[in-house]
Formats: sequence, C-alpha cells, structure tokens
Amino acid sequence: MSEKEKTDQELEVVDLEAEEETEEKAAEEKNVLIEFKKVCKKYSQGEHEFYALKDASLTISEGEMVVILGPSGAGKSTLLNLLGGMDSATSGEIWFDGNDLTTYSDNQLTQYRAQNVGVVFQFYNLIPTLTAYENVALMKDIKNDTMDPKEALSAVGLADHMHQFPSQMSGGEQQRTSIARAIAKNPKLLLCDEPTGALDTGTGKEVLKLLQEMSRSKGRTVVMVTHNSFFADVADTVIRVKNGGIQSVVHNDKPKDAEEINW
Amino acid sequence: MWRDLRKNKTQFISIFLMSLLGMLVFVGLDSESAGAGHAADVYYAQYNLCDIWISGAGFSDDDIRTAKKIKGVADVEKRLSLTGTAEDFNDAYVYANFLTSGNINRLLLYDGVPYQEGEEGVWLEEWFARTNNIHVGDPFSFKIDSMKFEMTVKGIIDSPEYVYYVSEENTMYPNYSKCALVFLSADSFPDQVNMIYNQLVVDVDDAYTSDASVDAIKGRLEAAFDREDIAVTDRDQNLSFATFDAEVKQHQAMGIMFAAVFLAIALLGIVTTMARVTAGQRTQIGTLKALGFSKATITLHYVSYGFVISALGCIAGAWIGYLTMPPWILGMFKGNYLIPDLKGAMTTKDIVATAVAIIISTLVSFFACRKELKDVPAVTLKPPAPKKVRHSAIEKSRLWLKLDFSTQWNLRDVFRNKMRSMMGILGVVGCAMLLICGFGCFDSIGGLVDKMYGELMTARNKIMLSADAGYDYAYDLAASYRGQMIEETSVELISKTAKKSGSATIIDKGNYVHIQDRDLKPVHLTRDGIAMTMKMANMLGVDVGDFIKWHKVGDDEWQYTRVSQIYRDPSIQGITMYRSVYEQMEFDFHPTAVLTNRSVPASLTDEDEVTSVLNVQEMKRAFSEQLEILNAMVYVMVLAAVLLGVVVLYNLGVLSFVEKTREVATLKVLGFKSQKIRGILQKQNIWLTVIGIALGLYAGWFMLYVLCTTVSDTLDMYPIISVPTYIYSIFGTFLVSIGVNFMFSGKVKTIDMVDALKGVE
Repeated sequence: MSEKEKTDQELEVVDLEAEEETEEKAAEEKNVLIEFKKVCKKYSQGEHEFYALKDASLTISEGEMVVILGPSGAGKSTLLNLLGGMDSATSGEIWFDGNDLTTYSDNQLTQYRAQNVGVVFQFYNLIPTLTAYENVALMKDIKNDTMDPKEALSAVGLADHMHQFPSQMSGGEQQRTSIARAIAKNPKLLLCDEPTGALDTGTGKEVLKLLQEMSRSKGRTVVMVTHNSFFADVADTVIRVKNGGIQSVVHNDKPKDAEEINW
Repeated sequence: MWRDLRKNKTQFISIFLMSLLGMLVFVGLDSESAGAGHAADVYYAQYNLCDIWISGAGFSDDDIRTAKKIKGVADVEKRLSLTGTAEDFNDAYVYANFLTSGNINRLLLYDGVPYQEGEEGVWLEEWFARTNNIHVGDPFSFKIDSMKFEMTVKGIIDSPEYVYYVSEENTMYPNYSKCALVFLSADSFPDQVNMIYNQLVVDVDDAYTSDASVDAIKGRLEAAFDREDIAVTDRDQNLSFATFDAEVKQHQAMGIMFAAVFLAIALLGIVTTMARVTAGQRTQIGTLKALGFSKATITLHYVSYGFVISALGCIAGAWIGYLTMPPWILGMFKGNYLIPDLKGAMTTKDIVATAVAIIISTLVSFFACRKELKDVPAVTLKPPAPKKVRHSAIEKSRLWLKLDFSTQWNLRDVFRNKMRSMMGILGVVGCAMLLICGFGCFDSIGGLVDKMYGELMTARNKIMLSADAGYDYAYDLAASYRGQMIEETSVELISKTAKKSGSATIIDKGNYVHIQDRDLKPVHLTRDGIAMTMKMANMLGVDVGDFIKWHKVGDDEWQYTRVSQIYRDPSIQGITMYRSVYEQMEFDFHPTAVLTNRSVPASLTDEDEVTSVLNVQEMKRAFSEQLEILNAMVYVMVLAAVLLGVVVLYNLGVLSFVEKTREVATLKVLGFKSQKIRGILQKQNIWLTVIGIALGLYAGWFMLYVLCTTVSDTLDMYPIISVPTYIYSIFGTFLVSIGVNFMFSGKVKTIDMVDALKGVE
C-alpha cells in the first residue's frame, strides 16, 4: 500500500467515526428498509478461495438515494447482487423490510425480486424484440399492481417513443426505458448498476436527474452502484467499498442536484 | 482453437454428425448400388446374358438363320421355356428351360458337371437345391402338364437370366426355396411329344449394345420375321434384369436424397455456428487485426473450423458408410437376387462427392465468417449494432395488442431469426415425413394384402387345377364346394403405342371375384367387352372405348376387342372378363382354379387334377413375413427420423438458447419464475413443431405416394396412411421436439442472473 493510500484510509476511518452519530440520528428519523449484518460472500474457483465481501454491515433507509462507490473488484457488484436477491450470501443476515433474505428459497427470492426490486442495468438489457411499450408492459406478467406502461414511459419523458424498438432508440432513451420498466413495478427498491456507464456525459446527467427525481419526489429508495466518484455529490448517503469491506458511510446533508455536477 | 471447439461442442458435434450421416448414407448406398450393379454387369457379361428375347408359337432353324443375318446380331439360340410343378417338393413351381447349345445365358456352375448339349439330366438352381437339400447325383422329378420328367441332378447352377423370378402363385415376392429353376438339354424332351421351340434368345454384338442400337435391332428383327404371333423384348422388359436394375437405381436415388437432406442440414449448421462463433469473438478478431494479423491469417483460422469438422465428418462417414452399408443391404439382397459376389465398391463418384462436400462446407464457413472479418478493426472492436427489428404486418392489426408478452416476443423472435426458424421447421418436417412414410409403408402393404385377399378375392381357399383337369372335373368340384371357376392365363396385349404382356382372368358365375374402379369403389364387371387394369391401360395408353389386340401366349390368332371398363388391381396387371364374353370369342373356357369359402380337405391335393390348395390366411401371413427388406427400410427411416429430429433441434436449441441467455438472465432478474420462462421458450418450439408436423404430414404422404407409384410395373400400390400412423408420427415428432427442447429449457434454472449485469460479450 502506498503512503498516500494509507493516509486516505486513516482519514476515512476518522470520517467514519465522526459520522457515526449522525448516521444513527438519520436512521431514527426514517424507517430502515435494508440492513446488512456481517454479510460475507465467498467465491471459490477450484482451490482458490476469496471473499468478495467480508463482514459488510450497513443500513439503508426508505426514500434514500444511496450511491455505492468503489473501484472495480471492490465488491460493489456483489453488494448489489445480494441486495437484488440475485445471489445468496455465504454468511450473515440481510434484512429487507423486516425479513431476512438469507433464509429465502429460490422461489421466495424470485418473488422478492418481482415484488420489491426494480433493476436498471448498465447495458439497459431491454428485450430487443419488444418495443419500449412492450418492454414496460412485461411487468404486468409478474406483478399485479403495476403502473400503466404509458404512464411509466411518460414519467421518463418517452411518451413519443413508445412504439420504437430498442435498436431504434439512442442509449439515453434505452436507459430511460429501462428505468420506466423498473419503476413500473412500483418497487420499494430501485437498484441501478452503473446506469450511466454506457452513456455520454450529457445523457448520463439526464438519467441521473431522473433517478434523483424518483427518490426525491416519489420517495423511492434508489441504490446506485458506480465507480464514478462525482456521483457522491448527488446522494443522500455515500457508501464506499474497498477490498470486500465497507470503507465508509457518509451522509450528505445537502445533496447537489444532478445538473450541478460534472464529470 | 480447441477452446472454441469445446465451447461450441454441441454445434460442432452436430455438424460433424450431420456431415458424417450424410456421407455415410450417400457413400454407403452408392458403393452398395455401384457394387451390386458392377457385380451384376460382370455376371451378365461373363455368362453372356442375352440382349433380346423373341417369344412365339414356334421357331425353326430357318428362323435362327433369319435372325442371324441381321446386322448387329452376334448369336441366336432356340429353346423351349415351360412351367411345371415338382410334387416331391411341396408342389414347388418349376421353370423349365430346354436348351440347345447353351452358349447364350451360360450357367454358373457351383457343383457337378457343366451343361452339355445332349446330356441327359437336370441342372438345378442353387438356392432351391440348398434349401431343399438336393445334391449332385440326387434324383429330381417334376411334371409339365401330363408329362413327367424323372431326372438326375447333374449340376447345381445359377443363371444370369434369372437373378430374380417369382412363381405365378406368388407374384409379389420371390421365394426361391419354393420355386425351382431347372435347365435341361432339349434331347431330354420325350420323343413321343412334338417339341416346339417357343423362344429365341439373341446375343447382340458388343459394338451394338447401346439402348438405341438394341432398339434398332429389335425393329429389324420384327420386320424380318413379319409374324404377328411373336413378341420381341429386350433386357429392360425382362423381369429379372429390370427388377434388379430398378432396385439398384432406387438405392442410388435414395442415397442422393438422404445425403442431400443431411448435408443441407450440416451446411445450415455450419452457417449458423460459424456466424455465432465469429460474432462472439468480434472483439477478439478486432484485437488480432489491430495487432497486425493479416485478414487472410484470421480468415484461415476460422475457416479451418468448418474445414476440419466437415472433413473429419465426411471422411469418417464415407469410410463407415462404405464398410457397413453394403454388407448389410447386400446381405438382405441374398434372398432376393441370385447374383454371385455381391459386394460394395467405392467409386470415384464417392471420392469426388466427399471432396465436394468438404469444399462446400469450407466455402460456406468462409462466407459465414467473412461478414465479421471484412470490417476495419476500429468498427470490429465496438460491440455490434443491435439487429434491426421492424414492425411486421400482423402487428398493425388490433389483434396484436391483445396478445400477451410471450406471444409477441416469440413471434418477433421467429421473424427475426427466419433462418433458424426455417431450419427448425425443416428438421421437424423431415422427422414427421420419415415417420409417416415409414409407418405408411406398413399400412400400404397391409392395405394391399387386405385388398387382394379381402375385397377383390373373397374366397377362403383357392384350389389350383393342373392342365390335365378338364372342364367337367372343375365343374363337379365347383358344384361340390359351392365354388366359382376361374381361368387365369398369360396374354399379350397390343395397343397403337405399346405391347405388353400381362395376365387374363376369366370368371364364371359366382361372387368371389370383385373389381374396383379408378377411385377404388366397387363396380360390377360388364359384359360388353373386357375390363383392363388401370396400370396396364396407362402403359398401353388406352381408355374405355378403345380397341386393343390381344392373344393368349402361344396362340397364333389375335383378338380385337373393346375395352369396356378400367379397374384397379394391386398385384396383377392385365384384363378380366366374363366367361360368356370369352366364349363369344370362340375360346374354350378352361378353368385353372376353383374359389371356395368351404374348407377343403388336405387329401384333395392327392388327386392328379389338383396341384395345390392355397389358403388365404396362410398366403397373407406368408406374405407379411417375407417383407424383410421393407421392414429394414422402415427401421432405417424411423431411426433417421429420430436422429434427424434430435440433431437438428438440439443444434438449433443450443443456438437459440445461447443467443437468448442474456434475455433469459434479464427476465430472471426482473422476477420471472424459471418455470414461466421455460414455458415461454417452449411456446415457440411448439409453434414451429406444429407447423413442421403439418407440412411433414403432407410431405410424408407425397414421399409415400412417389414410393408406391414407382415401385414396379406390376404393382399398383396406393399410399394408405392409417389413423394410428398419424398418431404415432405426430406423437413421435412431438416427443422428439418437446424432449429436446426440455433439455434446454431445463438450463434456464442454471443461468446465472449476474450474467445479465455484465456487458455484451
């Protein structure tokens, strides 16, 4: 470890302690939606074993906009997978709305994903053979109280592009469709995996703004995974991950608007 | 490279298998038919098979001289051909030929002494001798009409003229252990009986053996004799030669057909797999190019997949085909065709075909991967642009909006991957077609037997009378068994365009013989002329109301009679008329059999006038048991059907599943249950299967129709497909299709959702 990194880490550790008090306060104010308790995720490749996540503990409150920051391979994707019920933890507890996901069966996890989680992918993952409208309407097949697809698409500003195929849309439009698909479920949790990763700055900003709106005006919990540290400024809470552990949790009292940041 | 092969092992294995199967069947059948054809040609040439037969009421040495003068004729020989029965061997049917020099149609000697003109004794066909345990030196007696021949076996032989023959009692299938072929010297004929040579065999000079030359010589012979009572026929009209020739040609055609299907599928497999491999390695190709590898080097790398896999498959297939198919099929030939040294022969055609198949496969893989290779590195390094999707016509209708997501998705997927969908349908079509055709063969043969012995001839027993039995004997027999007298005889028929030999059936009062019209509806035989079978009418080019010339074989005088009816008969082609019509032409009605429903005591055959009693049930059973070749063919078809279905659908399944992995992973993340996703995937498969089966049923019927109508001159078969056949075929195809798909949809569970989060590969 270089000298500078060492100092950084020490500084952040100080940060962490300094913030702990505020954190507790914040947690009292809002309902806790998610709580990780000493979560570990171990992968083994042949004889090789390593921890993608080790003793990670964190809480996320309802309506928060959370940004999980960290370099590649730090464990943020693992965190996201566990949050989204796409992967199971090796040990520890993951509480969501009063239930421990680690005790869930495959079917229960599927149900959990269907009912509670909306996912926005880095590469949009729209079904290429379905139009924007149909991609959103898909959600009707898995959940009862979904939004009207038109409404969801209007909410992301795509009312005019409803009947276009993904291949006929720009990257930003595709990502907005993906967001519309995610919110159409009325999920408690909106998970975003590098949502702007494949977009240019301008478009990325629009998408970010949209996500911020979802959190601010609609009161949704938005968890965004990114390696772009500029995004820290727009979040209510910033969780930094490194080497499979939670490095720091920082609360922004005054998050910036998406338009204000630059990268 | 090996890593790529392993990664796409199922596709490569299926390409390998398809190339292998294609070449296996092609080379197998081709080397088998070429080998069989060659063996026959050698046999015919070595034993001097005659080129032309002249049959007539009587020939003299003058006639031989006349024939020999004709240009192109190398040699002519007279002989007497008769039929009889061998009482000591279960009344076996006997073909007896009384020869002169015996230089034409020389006999192949297995044991004993060679044929010698003037030598007393009999030369007996090998199959009959072996199966009836007759050896050189044993006595052998038989009867021709009232003449009894008691002879000693001088030689065990085969004749190039008789590689295939059937008795008149069972014209459908040869049974050489119940039908004896004997040759004797003309001197063996009893002196007290006036001997008339009824056949001339003509050997054409080697320089004139082309079809056109033989036809010309036939014309010259007919002109030279200028007699109306002779029939000049060539090899193509000879039952033995023509049947074997047709069999060989049929196998060749079948080989080409099967090979075309399998190779087409292999090629489609190469196209889709290569496109996928190169598309999947787009970035890698770009990197290699950017690093400075030449286009040619990279192309060579990918083309080598297609080349190596298809070369391995084709060569292995050709080799296995050559080693296994000829012995297997020719082994089944043994009871059918009496040709020595039947073995497969690899021809240059096989080698060329193998090479061509490999070259085509290589070319196809070149074109398939060229698409990815032609772009400049900068473009190739980026992920590919998404495939274009357009709104199709059906989407404009209101109906579209009512469809659920899975239907919409599947419909678009089908239209977007037309090639893959087509292949899938094709695989199902092939599977259903072969099943229908295979099982349909059983139905059609069964239907034919039921028709012959259930609808057209309704008597339970057929008492066969010898030539000695007079009318009175037959009449008394018919009276005591409440039977119906019939006369069956051979005739020659001449129309304006053709001359054919066939059989005539003359029926007396009774209701055991029935006829059916062109549409297979029962009709009554009329009394204002003769009725002709449809197949015969087609061959002669005549219709109801036309007049034809005909006579009984051996008669000089020709009849000129109106054809009053066309009827269908599955196994015997010729004419049928009432006794009254026959007698109006001043023929004597001479019954050859009595049909009866009453049971007949076995002791009846002891009477001189009765040669045998045929029981319909036994005939039916014997007939079905003899269809060994057909059974084998059906098994091959069913096996090929299942194999074809499994390999094609498995290959496509892998392709489409790999393509959809990302979408499936996404659906899983979104919260779709694995079960539901499987249902969605299965849905498309069911559509394609249903379409494929619908087309396959029709294709199968057509294939069966072609098989039935081309099978032979004497058989008038029509395709019959029973309800169980439809059920088995549809069910079997579904089972294959759904089963294969199930293997893939099972993998939905194992797809890692995390894949969905990753970038495009």
